[in-house]
Order: sequence, then C-alpha cells, then structure tokens
Amino acid sequence: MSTKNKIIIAIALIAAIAFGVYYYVFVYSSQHRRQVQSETGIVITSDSLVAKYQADEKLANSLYLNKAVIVTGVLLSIDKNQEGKTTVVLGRSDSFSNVSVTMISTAPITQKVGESITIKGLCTGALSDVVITDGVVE
Amino acid sequence: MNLKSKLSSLIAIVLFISLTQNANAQNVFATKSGQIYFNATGALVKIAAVNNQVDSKFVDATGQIIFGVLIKGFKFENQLMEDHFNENYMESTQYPKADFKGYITNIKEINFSKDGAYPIQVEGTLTIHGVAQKTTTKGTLTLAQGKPTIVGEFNVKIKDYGISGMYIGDKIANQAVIKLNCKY
Repeated sequence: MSTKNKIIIAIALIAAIAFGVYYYVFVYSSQHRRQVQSETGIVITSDSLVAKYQADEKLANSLYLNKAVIVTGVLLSIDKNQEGKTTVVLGRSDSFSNVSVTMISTAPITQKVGESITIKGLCTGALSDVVITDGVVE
Repeated sequence: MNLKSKLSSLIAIVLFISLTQNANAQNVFATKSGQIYFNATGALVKIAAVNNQVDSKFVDATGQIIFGVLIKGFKFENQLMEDHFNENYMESTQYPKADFKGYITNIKEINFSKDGAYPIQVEGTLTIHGVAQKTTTKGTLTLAQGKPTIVGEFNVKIKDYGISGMYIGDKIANQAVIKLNCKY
C-alpha cells in the first residue's frame, strides 16, 4: 500500500471516529432519554417509602435513589406544576412527609383524591417529601 | 360595675387580643414545585437544565427563607450531559441535594396586603456538592392577589463548591448561573 493510500485511510478513519463521537454525544444522546418506564421497578407503599427515608436517609438513598420505583398509596392531592405538568401527592393527610410525584405528561389523573393509586417513576431523593419524577400511573 | 362598663371592658379585651394576635401573626408560604434553572454554558456547548421540584418555604414576619432541590431531578435536553452532570461533576449519589437557607433581609419593606413587585435582598448559606458558602443575592418578590412569587439568581463559581472535572473553564463556564422561580 502506498503512503498516499495509508494517509487517505488514516484520515477517513479519524473522520469516521470523530463523526461517531459527535453523533453519540450530540445527536443520539439528545434523542434517546432514559426510559424509566421500561426498567424493573421496586414495589413499595408510599407509607413505607416515607418511613424508610425518615428512619435513615442515607440507607434509603442507597436503596431507592436514581432507581425506578412502583409506589402505591392514597392520593392526597392533584395539581399542576409551573410547567403545566401534573403533580400528585401520595400518602397520609396526617403525615408531615409524603411522596410528591411529577408526572411525565400533562394527562389528567382518573383516580380521585382519597382513592388508592399506583405510580411508577424515578426516585430522586427526599426533601420535605420523598420526590419522584417521570411518573406514570400503573 | 354596671352592664355597660362590663360590655365595654369586654370589647376592649377582645380588641386588644385580636390586635396583638394580628401583630404576631405570621404566614408560612410554601411550594414543592418551584422551578430552578442551571446554566453553565461554556464557549461551545449549551449546558443547561431545569428542575421543577424545588421545595421552598418562607415566613413573611421574619423573612426566613429556605430552598431545597434534588440534583437527580435536573433535566437536560441531552441525556449524556445529564449523566455527566450527575456522575462526574455533582456526584449526586454522594451529595443528592443542594439547598439555601437564609433571610430576605428587607422583608419589612414588603406590604403583603398590597399587590406589586418588590425588590428583595437575600443573605444566607448556599450548600452545593456538600460545600456550604455564605452568599448574597437580589431578586424580586411579586404579589398577585396576595400570592407571592419569588424570582432570583445566584452566580456560582463552580470551583468554590469543590466541583472539579474536565472541561471547567473550557467547554463548561467557570461560573454557573442558577435562576429560581417559585410560585408559593
């Protein structure tokens, strides 16, 4: 193989790798989001999730933080956030801390306040409530 | 004491109680769905994220204010950036939350019974990546039908919070802008 051909091949390879990196970082990654709904979720009640966070936040984070969870509890309230997405709170009306969920969509919730509801989403930790994002009613 | 004077002293007592209670009354305003924007766009690439689950409370009588936010709740347009933000920069498994605790120092200048936009000065401690730093900033508290909205901005030197990692100062700005918008 001539030196010229070698150089052409090397340039083509570098260009292909550069394009691959560019495509992965800027195109693929902006079109492919994490699909929490297709992950296996940890099944838990809202009361038990809150109790675990209140007992030992570090331990609870090691179990639930950044993981898909399927939470069942009593629907306490339905609202909209500042972006218009539906938010719900699960738990007990006499509790200081509950489970606060931001739904993935603006779709209305068919369950009524006081009824039981099961939601799958991503646990992002705890502030005054345990917080779940990307929620979908199961 | 006749009935009239008894009645007037009773009225005086009731008035006194209601007035003093009013003077001591304080309202706690709270939200669990405030917004926070993060922007560290450097020379080339847009690095920006939003989080719609800011937990915030403030007290009108004292001006005490707190904001809390979970790092994993920041949404980037680009999943890879979100992953790098969490894993390489914010180390959000180890430091899952950031918060601000402080005071609106000029709270007395706000008339909570009159709608309008009031400039506010805020002083307190901002904790990010497990590092607490004293900070001050300015913002606006808007009252609409008695309901407050606080908008404010923090300029944060990333390295002050012990955040290291490749690209800071290059593709990622040295200073990040954190904008808050909380409807209570």
